[in-house]
Amino acid sequence: MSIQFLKQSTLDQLYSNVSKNLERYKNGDFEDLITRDVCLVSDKLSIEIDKLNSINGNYKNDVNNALLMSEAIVALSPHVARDKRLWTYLTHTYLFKYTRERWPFPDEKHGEDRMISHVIDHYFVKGERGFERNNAASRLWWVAFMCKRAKNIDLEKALKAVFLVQDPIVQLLGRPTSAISTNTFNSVLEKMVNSLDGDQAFLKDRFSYNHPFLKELSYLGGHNLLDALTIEESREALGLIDKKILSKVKAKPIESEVSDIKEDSDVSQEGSSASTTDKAEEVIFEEKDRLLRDKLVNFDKNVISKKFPNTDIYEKVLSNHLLSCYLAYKPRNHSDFMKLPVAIRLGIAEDERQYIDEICQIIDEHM
Amino acid sequence: MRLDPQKAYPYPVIRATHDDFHGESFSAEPQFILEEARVKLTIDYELSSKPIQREIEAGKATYLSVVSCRNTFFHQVYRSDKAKENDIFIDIDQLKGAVKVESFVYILEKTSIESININKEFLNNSANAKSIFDYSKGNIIAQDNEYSFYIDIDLFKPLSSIFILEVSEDLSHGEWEVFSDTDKVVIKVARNIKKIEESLTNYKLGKSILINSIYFAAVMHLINQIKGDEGIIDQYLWARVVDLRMTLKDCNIEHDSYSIASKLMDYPFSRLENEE
Repeated sequence: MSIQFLKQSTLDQLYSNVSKNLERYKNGDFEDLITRDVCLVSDKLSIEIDKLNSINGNYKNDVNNALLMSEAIVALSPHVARDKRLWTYLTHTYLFKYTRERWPFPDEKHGEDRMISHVIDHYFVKGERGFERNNAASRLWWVAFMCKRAKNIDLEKALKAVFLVQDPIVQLLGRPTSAISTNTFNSVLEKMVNSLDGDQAFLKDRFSYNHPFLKELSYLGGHNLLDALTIEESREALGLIDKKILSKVKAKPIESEVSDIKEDSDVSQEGSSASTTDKAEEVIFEEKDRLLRDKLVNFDKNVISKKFPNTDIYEKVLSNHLLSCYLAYKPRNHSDFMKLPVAIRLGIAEDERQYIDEICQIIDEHM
Repeated sequence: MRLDPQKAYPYPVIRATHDDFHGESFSAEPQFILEEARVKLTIDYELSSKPIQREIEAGKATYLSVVSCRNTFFHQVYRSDKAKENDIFIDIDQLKGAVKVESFVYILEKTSIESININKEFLNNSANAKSIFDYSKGNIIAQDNEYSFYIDIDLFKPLSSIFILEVSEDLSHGEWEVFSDTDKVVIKVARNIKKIEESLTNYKLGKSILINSIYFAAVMHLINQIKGDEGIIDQYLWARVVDLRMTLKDCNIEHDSYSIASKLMDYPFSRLENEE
């Protein structure tokens, strides 16, 4: 079937009517609004509707869904894949139900603004990085596209490594030098696949391993022409960074800890030097926050861990590292939480994200 | 620039912002030509340093340009030992938005450069020391400023976007004329036609009728214009849009104008199907 795009006027109209259409996003559809008249058709490209219709489920299905997406629109060029009208058309038509299933609506008690922001993030494309990160349809295609650039790595295996924990791929794509230089990107992807097959430390140890590693890589890119490295030279460079990162372990006071977190917040910042502290091991807090810490620890023990006893310790919404961050920043509502550096917010297990608002409420009541 | 231009390298590098080499320069401003389905970049490397030129001739260094597009993750590295006539072709499909071109002279194997222009800060302090500096594989010995160009062709914009409808009091009831000697095509119409057009645009069937009448005829007229003088494509925006659209839709200019117009406009007669 020929590929369709929303007309720009239709996209603009949908965007400005998100608030008016909230009920449709939650319980309805757009079949009566998105007709052929409000779309453009290209007979140059086609979509395999059966494959597109097979995309379903939640984050656990990301790997399979990315494979289906890459097979559904085989000839799509990167130029066209950067067109917001295509992806917004898909999230409002064939992938409308999937988008709702993959990104469940926030509770109404959090207010309309939160729901509008949720729709804009996942049904539209917000900002240039929204293609790879948030739009429910385009993120599947773009991640598969990036993985396919590494010809020597099996696509499914690469996707499994990428989607095991969201954070590493977001960190990598957010760093211009590392993401664009093909051989560097492919070497990091190889490292992610090897980690998946091994101890998974590179994928899961965000603050003690992954972030410092990628920062060190960016630092290297500030002095050296990573672009010119062959795949073998890239692997060699990564090996040297590995040695450097894995040999450094030291404790830091809280000021330094928070400063590290702030540095992590802008993943596009290149050239910062690496720092390492095994943050998974201890909670860092000031004495005056002991009571709040106890409340949060109890909430985890009595509620979250009871419901999700098997969540990886690094992905817990109240992991030791995140607990330190809550105590340092004290977010009192969801919008406060969203102001935290992206490196802190990413990498939380999908199942446990639902507790963010309750954690903020505990902090708010304590203050 | 991904390599920090303010960064002090531990070795001398020819750069506009630094005096590591006195009186030496390196530039590689690319020329861009947008062709039908690809971009042609021509890069002439202007390097003043004779010792470095000799290293390139000896295969110990190379001119190197990195072309990248952040939006599409396009990334290609081009190496050359020629200063002139370096042509690079990239499919437009691979690019969208800002495309950056960064050029360097890159060391391929360990070598020593002797030049009286090397800044003394990099040299041995002894009075009899030669102006020689040792470079390792992977070092950059010359770096130009970053250049960028922008690709944002809307491959799917409707053809109607190239038309402007204007009332002309000089035209009698029912008359209309097409003027294609500006970037956008102006359709001058009698007042009663403008009224009809305004009423038709208010509902779906009306829009389809418009596309199949006045706009279909206008597109046929434009195709005839291009058939008569292909040089018009370089003159007017509308002609470039029609030409690009014909390329994308594999239209053969030798075919009849009505057939090309129908294909270009996505077979508009079928829009009348199932319309109320």
